[in-house]
Amino acid sequence: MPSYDLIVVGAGPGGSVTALTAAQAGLRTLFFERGAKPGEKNASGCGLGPRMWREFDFMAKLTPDVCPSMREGNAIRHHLVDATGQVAARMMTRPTASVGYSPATRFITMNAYRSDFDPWLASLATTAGAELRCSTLITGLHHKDGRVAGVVDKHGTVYRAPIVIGADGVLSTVAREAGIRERWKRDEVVLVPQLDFAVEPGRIDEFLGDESLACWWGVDFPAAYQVFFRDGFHIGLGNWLDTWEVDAMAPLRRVVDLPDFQRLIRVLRAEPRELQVHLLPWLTDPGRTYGQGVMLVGDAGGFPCPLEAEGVFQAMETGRIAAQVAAAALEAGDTSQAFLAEYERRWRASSTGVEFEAGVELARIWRALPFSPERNMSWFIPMVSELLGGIFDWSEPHAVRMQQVAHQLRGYAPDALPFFEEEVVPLLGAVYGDEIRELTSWRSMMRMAGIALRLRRAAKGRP
Amino acid sequence: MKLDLSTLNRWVPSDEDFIALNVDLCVGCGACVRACVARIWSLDDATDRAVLAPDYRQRCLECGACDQVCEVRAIRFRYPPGGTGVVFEQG
Repeated sequence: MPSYDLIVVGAGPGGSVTALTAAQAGLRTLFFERGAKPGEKNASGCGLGPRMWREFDFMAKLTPDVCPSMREGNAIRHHLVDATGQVAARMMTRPTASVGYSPATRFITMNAYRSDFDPWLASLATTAGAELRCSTLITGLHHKDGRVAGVVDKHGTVYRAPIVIGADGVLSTVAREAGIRERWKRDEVVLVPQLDFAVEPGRIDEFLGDESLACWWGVDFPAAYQVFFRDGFHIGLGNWLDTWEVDAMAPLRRVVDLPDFQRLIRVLRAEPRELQVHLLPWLTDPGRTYGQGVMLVGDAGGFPCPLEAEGVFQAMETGRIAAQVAAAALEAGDTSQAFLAEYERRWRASSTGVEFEAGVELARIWRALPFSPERNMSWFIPMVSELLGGIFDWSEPHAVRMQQVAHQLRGYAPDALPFFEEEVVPLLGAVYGDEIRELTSWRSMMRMAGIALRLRRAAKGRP
Repeated sequence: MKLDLSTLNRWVPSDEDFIALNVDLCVGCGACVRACVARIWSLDDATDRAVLAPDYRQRCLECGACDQVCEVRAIRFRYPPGGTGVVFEQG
């Protein structure tokens, strides 16, 4: 019966960073992948954020010779689509002056197919001494004397270790077998169909410049994301399992059928190449992430960002913390649940944990806006389009146009003001605390109203 | 754009079942049919209960949504044996 210090189930980014960190700490580490190689079961998480480069020195070694699909981009294009399917407004954003470090100033995301990225990351772990077993499905935990003592594969082979880390994704066997989670509630998990299109290398750069991502915001579909690689792109969109009323592909087909999307396909000479779909935990808080002899990292632990559900960086960061806590537990000879509570204390203090401090408010606003197209995007998109487009036309003298725009905007107020109060103010409150509560208090409002009145009187030359 | 999604992916078909349907528990709500991107679920015209396509092992995209949406737990999804199932080359 093979015996190790640490067993990691899963060789995605979370599992590989766990195995790498553990191997570097001198632990005899075994990690498992159910696919024939890492990365062939993943279906998303392909826009790698700059925080990875800041937190993990090894990311500097990611180059096109080991990851041919990688392509960095420094712009996001937003398409606002109205009820007729027309792009009513469009804008592009880049890292702003307040972005404080490189490479965040250089790229918004580094896009790489996970089928390239994951094998590279796993190779760092095996080079450091961890042992990788592919084509192996772990089906259960091995217990001895009432304690977790390893894992069991599909063929009944037992692999022993005093600590098991579940990096086995959204449908985590480790979480289930450890009694942490039987399955997700329907409002905790989103279903994300995604289409990959092939594009001749160079053509995306030629036509889109350094565009990295595109977001398609609609009044009759949940927000869709588009990620551009060296030789192709993804278009995908998700929604909670309790909100699908028609078939899950219908909103994605709606986006692909938009005239502007079709034009993009023609310009890029893009060809549909692969259909992917995955579940994604999207939580306001990860909840329980450890048990006796067990820790959960990445999607298995429910760590994707509460705002937009990006999860690769979070998997890597929680993987590193879990491996460090495992090393400390083995050193202390204590793998109890009480000792492993240190894992939660540490991830809560990490970049991943800080994101969840405003988790409820971040998740709420995202659900209320891009994922409530009929309720809120139906006024939000016309309102933003009016703001952006209303000024730039020559149908009337500009002063007249400004009055017309203001009149039109007032019409959106009955929807926009309650939304601001119910969704935006709580988020600002969660982020800025007392500062913003003071600003949005009625006293403060009255004070500002008083200042505005005095300014107006002064402008008109009255006392 | 006419998209034929059925021909895009590659599979190493499993020779074992990895989805179990307990048809006696099924109430015919159709949630599995709506959630399934791979279209391996349908409702039987006569019984109004869920039917799993016989060739699902070469069509399933392994998201597990059918299991997650089934309120009465009539569907149990487990991953196919190691090294089998769908292979994403641009995941």
